[in-house]
Formats: sequence, structure tokens, C-alpha cells
Amino acid sequence: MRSERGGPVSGPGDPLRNRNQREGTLRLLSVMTQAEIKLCSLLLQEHFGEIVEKIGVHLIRTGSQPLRVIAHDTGTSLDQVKKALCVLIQHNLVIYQVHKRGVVEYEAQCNRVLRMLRYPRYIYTAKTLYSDTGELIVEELLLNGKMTMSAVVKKVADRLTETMEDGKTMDYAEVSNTFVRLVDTHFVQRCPLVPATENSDTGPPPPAPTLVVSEKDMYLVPKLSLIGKGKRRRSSDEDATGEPKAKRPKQTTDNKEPIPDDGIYWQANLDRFHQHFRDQAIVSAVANRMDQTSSEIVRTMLRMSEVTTPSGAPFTQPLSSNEIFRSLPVGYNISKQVLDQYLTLLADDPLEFVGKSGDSGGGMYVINLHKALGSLATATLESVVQERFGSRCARIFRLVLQKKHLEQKQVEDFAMIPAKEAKDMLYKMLSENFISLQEIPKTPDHAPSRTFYLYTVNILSAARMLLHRCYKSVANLIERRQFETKENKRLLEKSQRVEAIIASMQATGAEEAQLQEIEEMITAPERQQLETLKRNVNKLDACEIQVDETIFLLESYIESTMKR
Amino acid sequence: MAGNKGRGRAAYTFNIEAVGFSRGEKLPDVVLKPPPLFPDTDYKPVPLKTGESEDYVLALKQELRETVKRMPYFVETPEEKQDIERYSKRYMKVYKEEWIPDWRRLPRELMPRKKCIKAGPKSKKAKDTGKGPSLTNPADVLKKIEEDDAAEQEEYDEEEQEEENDYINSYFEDGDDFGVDSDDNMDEATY
Repeated sequence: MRSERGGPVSGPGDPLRNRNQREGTLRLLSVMTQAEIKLCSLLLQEHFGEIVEKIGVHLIRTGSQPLRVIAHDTGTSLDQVKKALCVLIQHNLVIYQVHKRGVVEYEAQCNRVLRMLRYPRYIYTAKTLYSDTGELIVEELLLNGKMTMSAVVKKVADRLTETMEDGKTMDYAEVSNTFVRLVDTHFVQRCPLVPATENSDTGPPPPAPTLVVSEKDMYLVPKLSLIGKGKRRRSSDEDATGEPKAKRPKQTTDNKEPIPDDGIYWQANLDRFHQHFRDQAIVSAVANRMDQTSSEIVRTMLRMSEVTTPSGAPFTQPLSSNEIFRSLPVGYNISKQVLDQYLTLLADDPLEFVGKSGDSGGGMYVINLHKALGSLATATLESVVQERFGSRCARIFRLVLQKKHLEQKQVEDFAMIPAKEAKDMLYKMLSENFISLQEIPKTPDHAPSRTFYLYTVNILSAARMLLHRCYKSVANLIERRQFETKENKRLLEKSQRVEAIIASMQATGAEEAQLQEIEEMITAPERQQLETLKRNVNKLDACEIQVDETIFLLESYIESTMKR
Repeated sequence: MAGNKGRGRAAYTFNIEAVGFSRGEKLPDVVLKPPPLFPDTDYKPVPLKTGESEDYVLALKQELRETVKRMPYFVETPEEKQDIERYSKRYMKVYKEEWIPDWRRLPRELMPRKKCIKAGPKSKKAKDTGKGPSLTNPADVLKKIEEDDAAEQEEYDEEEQEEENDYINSYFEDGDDFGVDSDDNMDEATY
């Protein structure tokens, strides 16, 4: 949730003005609410541990700071702060900037931290589009922040080989191909580059490299010939339990091969995934509202606009009916006339997902992305009102939405709900900020007796309010899950120990009776307790995932609105 | 907005009906405390979505949660002493791969400091500065040098300790492919 502000207003000679000028651009200050900060804290802690969480949250709260100030303000040792910053920068959660006098300052990318909630969805999407190979590629990129292509290919080939039958291995070439396809469709992109330095003997090296973003090279795959196959973990390396031996000699560095794409790093392109989710939501909405064929037509139009429409555009580039007809999926047998009828129907629909922008080429059509997001956000709000306050309240809400501004009396009349109840419902929605009151004075003195008080729905502010509640909800869900796990910590540990003992006994060839005995160390009521815990944790996890879907819709709508 | 209030009488200056209740009507009690922490809800929440893809994403999420704990990016806090040494702990220890950042992409100040020889330029400098203020008291000078050394030593000890704890041995033998993608540029100080 971004509150867009330019740099503070300043006059000549103002120190802030100089700072802005030096940085060259207006800084967009992102203000985080307490709910967002709490959620970021929980996410960072689960992903990276408490030390990284402390540093990350500190930066989110205070904005841009240099290394020593961070260490001092958080009471953390310099070494730990350095390590935390390395981790955060690696994962694109913190950026650095070199300021005057060579001071480097670090800044948290607040909204990016919240994206960690969505990692499972990104990975699953990659699976649906590019199957297991794609899934693992995106997973490795998200787990490691950024990687070279050669590293990704090797790691994924190894992982896939593990799952294959004995004797079979995954070829690097196949993984490479999938990687290239992910890049071609923009799901994976290049990271900013360290510019090649000319060897200047004059002057000391800069305190930090200035990374350069190259738009034209963003999706340029280096010519690599990665030849090889995935390797399984050799079983001789593991002792009886399947765990690695205790002492491993430190690897010598004399068998280091040169990395062919050294310095060229890749990351997951989250915006592209968001575009995909948005398209999915629109197609699904059209399917629900109209029919399968309409949704397929809309899906085709969105697919055609994938790389031509910039992210954040309010509508797609116009597409002619002829073009759409040619691009329909193979095997979709509708005639040109039928297509035109569908397009007309879609364009006439009051939701305005599709708009007609011209008559050439059989009719020019666009997808109204911003309007579609607005409709989805509104539908979300309606749904929440219905589930929280009941269907009569929802009827009032929809009424006010439709009529834009209504007086108390008008609400009672239109909704056909008795006055007392209507008032009660309106005030309830008002107190929770789903509805707002607008004053329209009839006279310049704003006398209450001569002022219209109109109920209205301000979709943007209601969406913001709901988004804030969603962040709070997810934070609550995570905390509850952690609480449940902690409550049962002793039992969980016991269960893990028993499993470890059983595993080691099985490997050394213990008898069935002996294993049975060990299993019985966990009593029946304890098993029950573990079952209940598992069920609860699953429910809480599933909740988090589904609330994030709502978060995505609301964020997309708010972002789209702020960009106009 | 001027206007006399009727002497001795309470007269509203606007139509009270418009606000929503009439004169003399019983209004709800004033709320004197914050709302309850877990209020009763009139309406129960809608059940969660279920299905194959939902199940898969759930499993993925839980797997990821466990995986990130084993990655080298998860920085452990120094553990508190366990009260009883558990036999099975031996079998559950996870060995983390080492992660060395690509220092070419990071500010130089983030690199861990290299160990310097303690008896060298630093102690010389300490001696020199010590000479200034308390020339007369050699004990003081020695103390100052000791303090400086101790501080340095502390920092270095910390670093050494850190290296032993954080950079734990590799999980498995990678053979001849180890180190291919890790950047061992720690000895390079320049860009």
C-alpha cells in the first residue's frame, strides 16, 4: 500500500532541495502502516531468522541509513549487520546508494518484503505453465534471490535427477530450454549489471559499484553451451541414517572451473507473474458472468497483448476483430460472425471489461484493464459486506454503489428496508469505513439543517481499508500458527525424535516388533493431539494463501488507480 | 451561525429527524470500554476453497518454510544451552552449505574485515598517541596499548568465532563441481 508523495516541498537553499537535486529524481516515499510492518517482521523472521528480521524491520521503519548507524541503533554487532545486509541485498529486499562523501546508505524495499507471502503461488504458476522443470527453476531463483543461468541449470538438473528412476538423469539441455522459455515470456529477467570497469590507476575504487539496468538486455540469454547431466547424491557419502557424515573436509579450491556466464545474474520477474494473475482473474470473472466462449475470447485478447502492453497500462493496445479471429486457439470453432457477436456483447456489458475503440479491421477492441480491476475490487468489497453484515446490508451497499450518492430516506425507500434497520446497517458500515458520508451544503454557512448528508462508497479508500485489514489478518494467522506450534513444541520434538530413532533402527535392520515398541512411545492421545495440530496448521496456512489472493486484487486495483 | 437559544428551553436549530432519531427516544448506552478482543460474530466465515491445486500450493508453502531454515541465508541466533543433551540431536543436525556473496556487486564495507597482524602499525600508532597525554606514566601508556589490543582482539575473536559457527562445513561432497559457482573473491580488495 503505497502513499505516493514527491520529495518534501522546498525552496532554494533548502538542504533537502539539494539532496533531491543530487539524487536527480523525486523520491517516492513509501509509508508503511503498523500492520504492514508487523507482517514484514513475521515474514522476515520465518525466512531469514531474527537477526536479519531485526535489521530489515529497522530499515523499514527508519528509511535509508548507513551501516554504522544501523549497528548503533539496533545494538547489533557490525559483523552481524553486514551479514544481514548481504542476505537482504541478495534477495532484492534492500538496495544501497552511495551518497556524498562516499557514505553508503541502505534502504528497505518494503513492498517487496510482503511479496514473500506469495512465493508458493509464483512457484505453482511456473509449474502450471512449464511443468516441473519450470517450477524448480522459479523456486531456486526465489530461494536464492539471484543466480547465474549455469548455476540454476545445474541445481535444477540435480534436483530433478533425484526424483527420477535409478539410472536416469536429467539433461542440462532440457533444463536450459525451459529456462530460455521462461526468459522469452519474461517470467525470468536479468538483474542489473556491474559495469565493466576500465582499469583506472588514478584514485581509489568506489565504495560500492553502481549497478546498471539495461532495458534492451533484460531478456538476453548469453550464448552458453551447458553440457552435462544431473547428479544424484552419492549414497556412499551418507551414513546409515541417510544423514551426511559429521565431518566433511573443507573443499580445496584448486578444481575451480571458470564460470561461463560469470557475473550475469537472473531473478524472477514478479511483475510478470502479477500480470498473469490479473489476466487469470479477468478471464475467470468473464467466465462466471458470461460463458466459457466469452472468457476464451478475452483470454486470447490478453495473450495477444502480453508483451505489447506495458504493465500498469489502463487498457490494452487495440486489437482488430480480424486479428482476434486469427489468434483464437486451434480447434476453437466459431465463425467470424459469431466472434463479432460475442465481441459486441462484451463491449456492451455494463462491467465494461471490453471496450470498442474503433471500426477498422472489423472493429477495434481493447480490454479495459483498469475498469476490470475496479470491478474485481468492488466485487470483493461487496462480498465482504455480505459475509460480515448479511445480505440485506449487502443490498444497501450495492444500492449506494449503484446510485453513487443517496440520502438516508432514499436508502430506506429504494432498498425497501424499514427505517430503523436501514439506519442501523448504514451506521455499522459507516463505522467500519465501507461507506462514507458526504456533506453537500445548501447554503454557504454550512448549517446542518440546510445540508445534505449523502451516503456514498469511495471505492479507493474502502479498498485501502480492506487491504489494511487483510495485512492484519495474515499477521494474526501467522502468529496463531506459530502459537499452535509452540504450544505443542514438546510433543512435536518427541515425535521427531521417535521418527529419527525408527529411521536409524530400520536402516540397521531392526525387527518389526522392536519398531512397534518404539512407535508406541507416542501414546494414542498424543497421536490425536498431533493430528489436531496438523489439521489446524493446515487450515491456518490455507487461510494465509487465500487472504493473499484478496490482497493481490486490492493491491492491483490501488496501484492501477494511483498510476493514472 | 447566530441565533438565540430560546431562553430556558432546549430547542434544536435543525430538524432532529434528519439525524435519524426523534426527541426523547431512548438512545443506546454510551460505550465505556474497548470492544471485546474476540467478539461474537453473527455470521460465520465462508469455508476455505479446497481442491488439488489448493492442496499442492499448501504443501509447497509448508515445504518452503522448512527449506528456508536450512539455507545459508537463514542466520541463526547463537543457541541457548540445551538442558539435556539429546541422543537423537546427533541425527538431526543439518549442515548448511556455505554462501559467499559476489563481492563485486556489494559495497566494500560489507566485506568481513581481514585479520591484521596485531603487533604492527596499529600498536605503533597506539604507542605514539599514548606518548602525548601521559608522558610521565609508562604504566598508563602500556594500559592504553593493552586496551587497544584487547578491543581489536575482541573484534577479531568475534570474527573468528563467527566464522566457525556460521560457515559450517558443506552438506555433501560435491566432487569436482564444488566452488564453481561460489565466488571466492574474499581476498580481492579492489573492484
